[in-house]
Amino acid sequence: MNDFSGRQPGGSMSDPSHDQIRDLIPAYALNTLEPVEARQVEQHLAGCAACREDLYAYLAVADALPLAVPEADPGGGLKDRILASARPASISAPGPRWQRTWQAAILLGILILGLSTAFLWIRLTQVEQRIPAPRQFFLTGTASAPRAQGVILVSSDSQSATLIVENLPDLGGEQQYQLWLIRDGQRVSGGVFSAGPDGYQSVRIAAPRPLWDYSAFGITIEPAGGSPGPTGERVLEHNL
Amino acid sequence: MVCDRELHPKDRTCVDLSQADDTTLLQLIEQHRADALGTLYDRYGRLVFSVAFRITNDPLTAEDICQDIFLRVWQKADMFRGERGTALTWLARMARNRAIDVLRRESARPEKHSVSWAHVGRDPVSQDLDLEEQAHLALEKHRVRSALAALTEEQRQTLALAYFQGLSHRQIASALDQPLGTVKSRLRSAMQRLREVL
Repeated sequence: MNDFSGRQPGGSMSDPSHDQIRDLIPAYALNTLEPVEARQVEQHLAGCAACREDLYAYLAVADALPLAVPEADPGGGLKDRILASARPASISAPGPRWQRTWQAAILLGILILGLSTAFLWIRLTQVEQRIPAPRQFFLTGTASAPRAQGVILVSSDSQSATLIVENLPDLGGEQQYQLWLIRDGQRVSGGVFSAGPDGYQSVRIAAPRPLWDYSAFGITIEPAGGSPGPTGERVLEHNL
Repeated sequence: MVCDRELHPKDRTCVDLSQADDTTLLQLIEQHRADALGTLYDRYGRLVFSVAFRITNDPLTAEDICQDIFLRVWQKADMFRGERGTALTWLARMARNRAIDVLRRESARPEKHSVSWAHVGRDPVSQDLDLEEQAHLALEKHRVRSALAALTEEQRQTLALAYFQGLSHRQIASALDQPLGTVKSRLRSAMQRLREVL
């Protein structure tokens, strides 16, 4: 373990303690340093603005990592248990006998209602399991727009689909982007849109048939209003 | 789609809970609106559970952690500070910290514990969320997972041991039978690379 004791925190950029501690900041952001190291980093951070900037950047990385955790299903009923626990509990002394009788009757009613609900929930779960989940298709940027990316999300009933794009260049007023749905070599338009000033756009897709019937998707640059078929440069694509 | 219309806590205008942003939901939760808590769970409950489960490798413990976190939100929604990150990052950070605490308290780490990262584009999508919101989340996941996929296998493995098991440099070096300096370098370079692309 490194020992930086006796060195001045927040020293100059050439101070070895600064460089050594700076190397520990990624692990500090992940909260995985040994306690002694963590204390040394904290002491240094108090006097070093550059390292604090580093820390904020690495904390943002650590905050993004949950999005790469393999997802798993919680057991059925967790949401109900959370909501049941979330209601304010009332604590009171036992009431008179007639009141306790009524309370018992109410509890029995709740129990019957609960069993009925459980039965309905099981049936509903069985039904839900038969519904296919929405599907997603990721689009990657071509050499013309390497930073661009997009995703198409199709609803479970295939009746609606949404396209979201990021980092698409602003085309000005004379050109727009056009989504193409490709099947058996035929291309039909899925919509014409412009990217926002930040390169972001969300588009409802109009498709003549369910999207999973198509084998590929592409986005090209077209004259404003769109074209009957693709004529311009392809900027995003997805091949199944 | 069921539209749960509620009054916005500040300007008293009508709010569709399924369309409400996270800050509005948390304001409603602060007022003890259980339906807002339900909507927040629909958005992030699965991810919070997943973080806790992948760290503890025990579904019951993960459910307990998930329940504790949402009850904490119920009791202390005002603790959320938007300037420090999104509701998602806040919840996921709590889930990881709580799960790592469990591992450290019990001084036991699950054997044969899967610590690999998710593959790009492999998750099913929730039925309970608005399509645009799901698409946005899917895109964010794709971005982070693609960035991880671009790391070397050694970098991913080292980062996974730090993230999922909360292991220190020394503990990772011991687990992988690698020199301490190598482990430090791998973890640092992995985080630096992610910082550049995310």
